[in-house]
Amino acid sequence: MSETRTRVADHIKHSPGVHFNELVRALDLAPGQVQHHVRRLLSDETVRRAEFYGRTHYFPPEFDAWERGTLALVRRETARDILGHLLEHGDARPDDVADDIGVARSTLEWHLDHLVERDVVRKERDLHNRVTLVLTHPERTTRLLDDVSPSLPERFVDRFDRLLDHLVEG
Amino acid sequence: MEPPWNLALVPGHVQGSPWMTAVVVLAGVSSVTLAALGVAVFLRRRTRSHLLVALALLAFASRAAVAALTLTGVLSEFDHHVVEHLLDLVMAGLVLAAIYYARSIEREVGVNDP
Repeated sequence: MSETRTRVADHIKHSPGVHFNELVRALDLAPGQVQHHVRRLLSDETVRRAEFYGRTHYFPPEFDAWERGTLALVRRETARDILGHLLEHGDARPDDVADDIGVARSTLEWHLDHLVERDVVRKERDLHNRVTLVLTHPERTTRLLDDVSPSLPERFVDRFDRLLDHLVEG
Repeated sequence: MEPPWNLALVPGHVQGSPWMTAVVVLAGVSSVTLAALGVAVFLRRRTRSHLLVALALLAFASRAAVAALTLTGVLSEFDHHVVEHLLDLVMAGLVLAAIYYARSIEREVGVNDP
């Protein structure tokens, strides 16, 4: 394997779920070059790809479908805050989570939609139809949270999103 | 961002000023970054309010382009003022519309649900 291809493979291994643009930025290579090596890595199955929310993410082969979906979400700062709250305090009501991590209710719901869709969080309803948020796989979630951290552009997008929701919901 | 009006009347003064160029470049870089953030957030959320905010930020970013066109002599000082004030009007209108539609986002989310 060429030296560049090893670098690409190593980066994906250390940053599972990395997306294409971030790979280009982190390795300081031309997009065409990254594309070429990724294609080779995909064809010999050293790397797998999955698309989430309009972005292509790359993973080492040992991650299963649930882990791949979760890794795409734990790159979002607010989603991490929500999961962190649930890990620390256990099951919680949505209002308490929104208050504690300091986001507007609409920001929380947008992130929850994706977390529920990927089976990271479950919404349990009691007799009065009141929602409690429950982590589906707390140990596996903790491990994946440790595996990645959001890049600077990802943090900026997330914070701007929060800011806008705060401004309009006040 | 505007030079004092008496300087603006001396085209050579405005076009040749390195300070003015530096300010326009900095304003351009930061407003384009801001507009890119606005577009990224709209692509995530896809609501009408987020679209309007992204468009307002794009209008804001295009002010730097107008300034650059003026500095390079493509636009006259008069056109420059007309276009910039039009962009102000567009931006204010878009932000007001975004605020108006913000209420319907809350309703979609169901904040008053049990």
